[in-house]
Amino acid sequence: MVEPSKVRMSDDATGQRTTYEEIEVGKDLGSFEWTVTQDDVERTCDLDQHWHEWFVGESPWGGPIAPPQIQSRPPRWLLGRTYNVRGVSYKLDFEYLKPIMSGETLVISGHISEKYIKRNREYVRWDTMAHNADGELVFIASRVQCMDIVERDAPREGTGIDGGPKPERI
Amino acid sequence: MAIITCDTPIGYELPAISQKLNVNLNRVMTASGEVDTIHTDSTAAAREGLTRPIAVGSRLFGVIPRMMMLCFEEGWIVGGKGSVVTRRSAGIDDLITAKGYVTGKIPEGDTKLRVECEVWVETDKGEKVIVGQCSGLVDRV
Repeated sequence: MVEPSKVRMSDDATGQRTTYEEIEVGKDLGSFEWTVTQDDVERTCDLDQHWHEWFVGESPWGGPIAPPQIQSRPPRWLLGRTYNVRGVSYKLDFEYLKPIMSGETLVISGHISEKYIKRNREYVRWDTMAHNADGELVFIASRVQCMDIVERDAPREGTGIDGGPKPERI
Repeated sequence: MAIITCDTPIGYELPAISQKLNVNLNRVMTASGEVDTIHTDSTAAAREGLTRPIAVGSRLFGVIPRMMMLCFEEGWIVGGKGSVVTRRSAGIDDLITAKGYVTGKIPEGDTKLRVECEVWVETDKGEKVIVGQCSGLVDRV
């Protein structure tokens, strides 16, 4: 077994890690377009073993829809465009307002809403919204990431392997 | 056909949904090949202070939407809501199970009822890894 690190990582393969001090509450994380392909839909079905006829054929909303939990990935991509935070996922608040149609393009946007320290670890919360081509809100998600598993009084001096920014694909 | 209706009693136990995790669910591919992550690689995990690679958070969570959609169908796709917390990590090959029960019903708009549920995900060792609340909509008859 590889011995777990006692220090926090200062950088990794994707660049310099973001520190707690560098997180700016209120910061606009920008926006990007995400086209939800049928491949994305079916990959989510495979990953979660969640199959339903609505995901591959007709649904009450017309054509195929995505399993709504497909929305758990874009918020992470959004954060990774501005900040390099690895850590681990801590909290998720979400609301599904409209079905995500296969083939539709959503605009993903968001901002940093909070940062805090709890039990000697650092946390960042960011809020994400998805709008469809008609400007309607499709889903909202508010996520909290624990920035480091190692406690915050450990020095930040190691080089990690895994990073915060991830390929933007399901 | 949704399992939950306006007549479903408080305390009703939701149908449990399980999934056996495996490392192939965690792989991240780029044009230049696979990326080592805390979800696939022991050294990458150890650098972050972990004793072993851990399951991806969205995979752990994924059994909850499966359970909720079985319960609410359309009322989960449009109107599904939730608030969950990850209490601890799970291993990359754990068997995980979503469970829950109905805790309340609140009128929403003129025709709908929001049915609230306590939900959690536990491993085959009986450890709760995710806990929280989720709700879906049903017709108020």
